[in-house]
Amino acid sequence: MSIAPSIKALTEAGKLCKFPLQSRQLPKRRLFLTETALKDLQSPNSATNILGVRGFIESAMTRWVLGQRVFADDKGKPRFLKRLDSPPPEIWEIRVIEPRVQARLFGRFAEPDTLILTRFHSRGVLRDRKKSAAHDSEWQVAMKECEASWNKLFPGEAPFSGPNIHAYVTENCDDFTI
Amino acid sequence: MTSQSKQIAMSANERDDYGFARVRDAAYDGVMDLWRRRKDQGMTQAQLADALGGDAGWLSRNLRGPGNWTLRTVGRFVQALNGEVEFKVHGLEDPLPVRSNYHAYVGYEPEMTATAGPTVRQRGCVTSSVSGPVILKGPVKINTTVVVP
Repeated sequence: MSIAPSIKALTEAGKLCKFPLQSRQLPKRRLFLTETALKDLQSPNSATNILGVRGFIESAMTRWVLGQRVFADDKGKPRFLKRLDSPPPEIWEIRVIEPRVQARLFGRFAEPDTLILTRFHSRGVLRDRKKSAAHDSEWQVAMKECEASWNKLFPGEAPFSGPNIHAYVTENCDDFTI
Repeated sequence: MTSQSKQIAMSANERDDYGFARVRDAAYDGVMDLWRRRKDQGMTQAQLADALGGDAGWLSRNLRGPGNWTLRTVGRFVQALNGEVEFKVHGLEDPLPVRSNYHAYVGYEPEMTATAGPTVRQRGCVTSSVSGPVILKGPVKINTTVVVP
């Protein structure tokens, strides 16, 4: 059963917001932002905006919605979109890799070609993942926060899960391992 | 958050970054399209590195993504791939050459209908390809592609 009616209801309730595409072209993929993600995008005091990367973030989101290439590098490592190592499962990031400051846009797939972004993070804050299980790293905290946001929006509904990247991104995507 | 009308527009500096990133990404996509085609035709990364003057490290870094790309980067790749650049800027109000009936948000939004068009706001956007002379045609939208001469 499609999750579209849930997304539609959440959009009507103001809990989700469609990314406003600025293009004469029609959208080919879907992108929704939670209230928190929208605040991260727009608030002058958000971590990402203090670092001045909003233009690059909007460009990355535009790439996604217009259906432009989801690319990997020459060694087959994902560069634009990556599924993070679980647990929790099915947490994805859009990687905004710029010369100045990098950002990571966390979210989950609701359906193929449909991303729900829950929170934006500065890469500088998400320091290296710790090997020790004694304390959560910033990455794990951020991933759990993403999972909690999802559960609040879609109680009882699991995020989309597929066998390979092409199940998630149906067109114009490099072949890389997830 | 109650509606998209409450969304805050980007500042002038943020629009600059957005415009730069869109143009750079368009150039990257155009070059990568031709590079994929060359690979399908049998060209190897070592051969491309040779065509770029033997700098394999530079090539590997720049194939990872468009993060540090400049116009010189684009030009080097286009020449090494035996391509040509075509650059076109559209107004956001310009009609699409082919009108598609597909709209990704149909069924996901309360107000969306099958014939709804894109949201057009106050500024521009970019897509990609590379080939030939530069033609600037209007203030806002840019198209780039890489083609074989």
